[in-house]
Amino acid sequence: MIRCSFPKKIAATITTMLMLAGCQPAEQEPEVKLAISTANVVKPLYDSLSQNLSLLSDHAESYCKSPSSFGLVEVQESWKAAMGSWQAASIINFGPVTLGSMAWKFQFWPDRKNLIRKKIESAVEIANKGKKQWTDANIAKASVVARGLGGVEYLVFDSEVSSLAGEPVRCQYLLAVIGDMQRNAKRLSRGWQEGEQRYPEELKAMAQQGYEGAEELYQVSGLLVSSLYASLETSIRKLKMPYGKDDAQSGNAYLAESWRSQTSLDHLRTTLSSSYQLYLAGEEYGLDDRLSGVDDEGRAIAKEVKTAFHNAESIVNSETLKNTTLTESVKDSDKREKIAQLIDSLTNLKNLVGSQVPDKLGIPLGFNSNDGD
Amino acid sequence: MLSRREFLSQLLMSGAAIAAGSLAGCSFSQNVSPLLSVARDRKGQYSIRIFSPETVQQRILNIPGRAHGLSLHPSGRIAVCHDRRPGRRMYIVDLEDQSLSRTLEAAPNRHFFGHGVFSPDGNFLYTTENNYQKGEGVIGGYQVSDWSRIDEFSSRGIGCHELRLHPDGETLVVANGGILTHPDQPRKKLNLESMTPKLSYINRHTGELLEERSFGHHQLSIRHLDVADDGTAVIGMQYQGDKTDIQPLVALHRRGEAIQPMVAEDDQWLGLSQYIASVVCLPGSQIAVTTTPRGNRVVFWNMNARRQIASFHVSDVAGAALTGSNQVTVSNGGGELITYSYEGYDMKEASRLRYPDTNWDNHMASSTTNG
Repeated sequence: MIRCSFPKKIAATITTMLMLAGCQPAEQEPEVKLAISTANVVKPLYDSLSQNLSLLSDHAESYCKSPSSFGLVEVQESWKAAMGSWQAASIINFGPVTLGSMAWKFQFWPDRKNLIRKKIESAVEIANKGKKQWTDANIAKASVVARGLGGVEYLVFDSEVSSLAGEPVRCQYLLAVIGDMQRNAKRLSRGWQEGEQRYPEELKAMAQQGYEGAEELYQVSGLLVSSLYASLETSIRKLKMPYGKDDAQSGNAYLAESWRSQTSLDHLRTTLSSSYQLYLAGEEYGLDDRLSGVDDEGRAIAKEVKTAFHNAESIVNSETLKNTTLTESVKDSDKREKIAQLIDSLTNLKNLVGSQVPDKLGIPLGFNSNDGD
Repeated sequence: MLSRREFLSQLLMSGAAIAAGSLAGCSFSQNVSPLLSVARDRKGQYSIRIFSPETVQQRILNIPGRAHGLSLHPSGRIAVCHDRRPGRRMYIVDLEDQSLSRTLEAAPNRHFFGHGVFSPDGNFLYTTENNYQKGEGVIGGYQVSDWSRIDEFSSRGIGCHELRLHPDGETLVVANGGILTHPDQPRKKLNLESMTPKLSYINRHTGELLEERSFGHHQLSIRHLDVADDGTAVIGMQYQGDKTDIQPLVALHRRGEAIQPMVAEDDQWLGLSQYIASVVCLPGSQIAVTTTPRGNRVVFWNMNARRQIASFHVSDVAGAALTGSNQVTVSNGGGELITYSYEGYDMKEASRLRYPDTNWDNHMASSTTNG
């Protein structure tokens, strides 16, 4: 199916022209518009994940047939692309991804105790002793700790074991883990396709339901706000853990998300950009429009959120943090200062998304999940 | 004499319970069990609600702050709502005229931990409390006739939280969470390195410790529980360690045996986000239900096989209560009530209802539970 999406201004002009011509299109309710635009933003995220995992699988298969340094680099590069796709998609915490603890099947994090290494080496040892062969049929029985993108990163990037990646048993394990993710990504992608019994329909139904009751309910806004809030919270954590306390000695690079591949900062950029796109719904009707449609104060909040996103993006894309890694950044005093600024900036953004936005939209955000009793 | 359920159904059917924000004129099924819960509205006002899981019908009784669990008197004519840690109030709800009949204050140097349970004859109420001078959990005993606090005995641990009555009618089953707190630092956990959670069986007349069990990692705080008809206790825990430590958060215990963890895959445990908010055993079956607002999940467990039999995603879900012979309802922070029906081990969502301007709090009680 070919979907045409117009930039907001063009869409507005078309609407005005239609109205002047006497063909006024039926105005959709804001939550319904949000449901449609959300599906349009989210589906490509899972499609991209699925495609990049296929590429990773192809490169891993080629490498395993004939291991070489060049082949390993190809696998590593395609891992980066797949991980980037997952980072972009990982901000979605509603819909098909909530079935069967799916997010954990793509990424086990944080790994404070280096469990990934422990569990994978144990799985490889079992196979080496001939007790088990890891295949598509049984990989789902392995712990999620030893699967997912973190597992693949360990196998192909870890300085102590990546040179062994081409060994038959390790290769077999690698291919099984990638295959498992491919199947899961396809499931997610299918779940977001248009059609009956698929999530976009469910989302639309959920949005429509909101206008039938005694009070307007903003379910789609609620899902989006809670997803954005959770992803910002996670991003902050991904910085705070390696950053440690306020002195350079306390920085611990091994607590960075992807310390083996040195790609943690890239992931953060991707996540932030994806969060912003979810907020805007790309060029379509987004949470910014939703807020602006409430009143002047809503418009001001929408602007404030936009500025906060821009601030965080300008810090993470600054000269100081360009062409460097999180590992280096938490040890270098100038770069640490920038990381601290980034943490503050993301915290400000998170607070906006967690308080003013839901207050203005009249949606609850994590009442019981913050309880602690 | 009316049963508790009949009494509350008639109460709501009478229309006397309909309050602001509810839909007037809705009929109310005879089969339904009315529910009780604490809730918050958009203005931040907390209240105790008596409400229907079928249609938006409710009675709202405002209270000054956030509270926690509710206990239903065996007659069904009184309910008690317990303050949330470190609160010092206990609200007596008269269900006949749907009013707050009395507010009790905690004893000097005590605060409530949020749960209580009545004796089978309804003459006594037992509540979990903190003796914060000594840092010890105590069970406060109240005489229902005049609500006087007649005694207390040790909970046999630190940070007691939920307690239930064993089917023998004589034994209190107490979740001693092990976490030391003090009202001067209201939400701070003071002993995470040395905490020792326990499940304790205590004679409700004498305070005698009949059995006590520890389980697993010392930071697995035993906080919520329910006891099945056959005396099996199902416990829900909250883990105080790392987010990605894989710990069994639900377990069961039969008297005289060791605590047995439920069996689940690593991702299933991780998906519960180290936090169980409520536990309910379904009567006449070997099924238990747990909720986790952090993991946004309702899980049904087979107590015989000690495995998950069904799992549903529900945002910010916390409260759970029986609402019929084969149904259980859960509540969430978004004002939703989702009812599941079950036949054998086959679970399905039967209905979904949203109360406007409502955040349902951690616990619900129904007229078919002991609260």
